[in-house]
Amino acid sequence: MDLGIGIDILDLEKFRKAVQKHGRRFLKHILTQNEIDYCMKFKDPIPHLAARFSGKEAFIKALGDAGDWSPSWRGIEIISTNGRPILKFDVKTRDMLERLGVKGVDVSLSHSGRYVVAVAVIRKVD
Amino acid sequence: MSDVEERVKRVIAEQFGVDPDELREDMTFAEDLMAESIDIVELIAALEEEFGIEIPEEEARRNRTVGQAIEYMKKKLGVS
Repeated sequence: MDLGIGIDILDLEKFRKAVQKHGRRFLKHILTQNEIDYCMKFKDPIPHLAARFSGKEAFIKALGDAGDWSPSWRGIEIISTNGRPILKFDVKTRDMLERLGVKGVDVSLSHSGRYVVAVAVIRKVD
Repeated sequence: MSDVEERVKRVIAEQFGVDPDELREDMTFAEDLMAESIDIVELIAALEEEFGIEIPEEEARRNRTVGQAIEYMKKKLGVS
């Protein structure tokens, strides 16, 4: 069993400015409608939106070289279950991960001050 | 320089805070322009706004250089 690890850090204020400038046109490229709807329930949705994007970036880094293929941000969804983030995938992404031998994925998200960080771990067989 | 090329370069220059005249077609987003992923998403959104079209991120992210982005936009807009 091989392990892959990925980490990402994101400047919340940079993310906030991008959302203010481009609105949903920006968000729709990186988050699913479910994720946007969930985050918009919070008084300040920005840390929640940004953490999800950061989690996806950490996951993509943990995946490493996948040949010509790179997962679409919208093919990955991060949902919260009992306060714990869980990665879900659309059919195309799930099929590709199976072909790459991915057996399990975990992600952890955190934020402090103006930064969010995310770490992802992938377990795969050769 | 074509109209599309000029507009794409202007949008890229604005996103990365450089002079459009300093942009070369062989410049990479990741190394030469030090692009983070969020910059690439913003660039896609800004190009969509500039040209009034939808750009799939899976396609756009394959463009590694300024020149590739210009060629991609020309193809997308049906101009040579």
